[in-house]
Amino acid sequence: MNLFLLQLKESVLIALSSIRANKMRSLLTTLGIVIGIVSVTSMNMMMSGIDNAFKSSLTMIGNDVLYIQKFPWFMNRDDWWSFRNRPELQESYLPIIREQSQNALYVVPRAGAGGDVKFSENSVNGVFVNGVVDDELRVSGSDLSDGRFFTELENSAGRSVIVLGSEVAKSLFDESDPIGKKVVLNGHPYSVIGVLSKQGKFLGLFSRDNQVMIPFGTFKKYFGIRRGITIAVKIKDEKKIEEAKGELTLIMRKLRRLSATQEENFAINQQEAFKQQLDGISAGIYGVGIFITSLSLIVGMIGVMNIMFVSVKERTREIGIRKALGATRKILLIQFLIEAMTISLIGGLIGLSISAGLKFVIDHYFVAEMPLGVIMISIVVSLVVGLIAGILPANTAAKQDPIEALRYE
Amino acid sequence: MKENLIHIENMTKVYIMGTQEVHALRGVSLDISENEYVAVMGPSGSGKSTLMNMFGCLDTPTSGVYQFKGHDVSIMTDNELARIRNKEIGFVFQSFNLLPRSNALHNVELPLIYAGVSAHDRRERAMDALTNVGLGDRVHHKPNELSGGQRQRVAIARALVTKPSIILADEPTGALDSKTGEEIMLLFEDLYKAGNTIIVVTHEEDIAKHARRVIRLKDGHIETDESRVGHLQASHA
Repeated sequence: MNLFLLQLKESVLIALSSIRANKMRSLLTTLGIVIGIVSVTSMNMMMSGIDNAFKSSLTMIGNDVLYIQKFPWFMNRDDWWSFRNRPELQESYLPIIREQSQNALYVVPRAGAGGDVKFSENSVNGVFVNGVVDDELRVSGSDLSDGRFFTELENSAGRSVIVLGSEVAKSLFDESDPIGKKVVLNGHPYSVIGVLSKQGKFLGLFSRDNQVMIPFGTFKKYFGIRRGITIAVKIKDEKKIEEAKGELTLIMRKLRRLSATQEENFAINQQEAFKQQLDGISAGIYGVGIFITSLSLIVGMIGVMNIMFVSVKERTREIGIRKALGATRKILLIQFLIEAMTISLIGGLIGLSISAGLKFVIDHYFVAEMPLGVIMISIVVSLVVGLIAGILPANTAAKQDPIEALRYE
Repeated sequence: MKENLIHIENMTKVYIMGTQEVHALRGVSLDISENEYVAVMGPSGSGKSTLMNMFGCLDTPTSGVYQFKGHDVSIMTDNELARIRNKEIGFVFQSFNLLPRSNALHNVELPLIYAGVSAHDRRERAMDALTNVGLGDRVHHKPNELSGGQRQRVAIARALVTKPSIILADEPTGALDSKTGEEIMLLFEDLYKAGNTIIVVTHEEDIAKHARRVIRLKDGHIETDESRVGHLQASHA
């Protein structure tokens, strides 16, 4: 074992000195590996970034919330044409669902529309206006960074109060305190009573930072709910979500007076649908990424293999000397394998440092993360690539006939 | 009684060159004992290089017996041959065969690395060997910073450092001018007197005259095998 370590150390030193002797050549050789590792890591960085961003967005949807809606979240164009004739969901369903569902904890309505918000000179156009009830925060994952949410009374009385998303608040009020100020939404004045916590962005998707909330009663008054509402049902036990879904389907079928043979004319959506969609996207990106990555790693591997064959040929005499002095096949095999692995590892490390730089650039425009696992994988991958690339050349070296090798000019 | 190091009996070696069989050795028998100084001579094609490869355990015979210290070399595996080369034989080549990128010290350490000697002992023994050949002040020079004679001294130090049973020199002065060559031969003389066994393969009479025993080969046979008159330590003829 000690002897093995001794020779391992020696092999690494030999490898480094031979790489140093051919700096330019070795550097060019590693290029393929560098590109391979950069694509491995950047793909991983983006995927874990997307994953995490999606996860934090999904918490807002909530994994214990079911959404009864007119349309399913994912459908094709033909479906849309047939679904658009479905009846809208009515506010009158709410008390019935509350009463009949065993699994529901909260049953709340949601309605939405576009609008423009103004405060003195500042304005934000095209914000999404949510009409929600006082239980809303208990259903969604959002909470407040400032002020309060509206009360049951403000809701039923249709008071003109408003809770702003963090971006909206920042655009209108910058650093000053918005609580108690009057803003104008689509021509009507509202008092600001609260600001939502910053949620962060994932391409702006699902983010409430750019939205505002007003009481459902107020929404009905100024916007109307002819275009239908969404009913969000938070269930008691997350594990019973499938059971709850079945129960809600039955209640809805009864409400809509559907016979056993008729198709449902409503949809019950859940976070799962997004997850499946995300998994599909991830699989696609991974598939393409793995293909590109393996391609560049194979090119890199051939590069290393090629340079190792050149190196073995150039050093035929050295191999002869070493054999005459007592180096066994195994020792020479290990020596050249380690040389190939060292070249490959250097390429991997260069690739990693480029990726670390790229991470900041990507993160600025998109989302990227560089977990420790990616670094470990890159190192292991470059070592394995070097090992595979080294096998044939190292074997050629180890098998040299010492007499021939010593005679080689 | 001196120990018998090499016992060769009726050794033959046949190479296949394309479709042709080349008989490099056609039945050679000889013995070499401890602390002999042997010159192997012969024109090119006489089989002296082949015989040297046999001595050095770089090659195995086609038929016949080759025993090294009583062990049958012809049935040894590659690893066993490598071990014998490492521990028992010190090679000195015509073209020095030093590793060009390594300094003198590291070149001399090399066989000790393969013998598994620890870094500290290695350094000490390599320093001693280099001091013995008069290069104690050149240990950190690379081969291209040394003269031909100095390079051959490094090679001799490398051959000595494992304390081998035999020093096997193949035309050791072939790449040196005559004055430097003479100095190297004086060094061999000293090593011989210190108790080493030396085999020199050469085609130069001037070099062979240093040896105590001269074996002349011709066409794969031993033509003559004679001990020099006046040398007390000569072996059997």
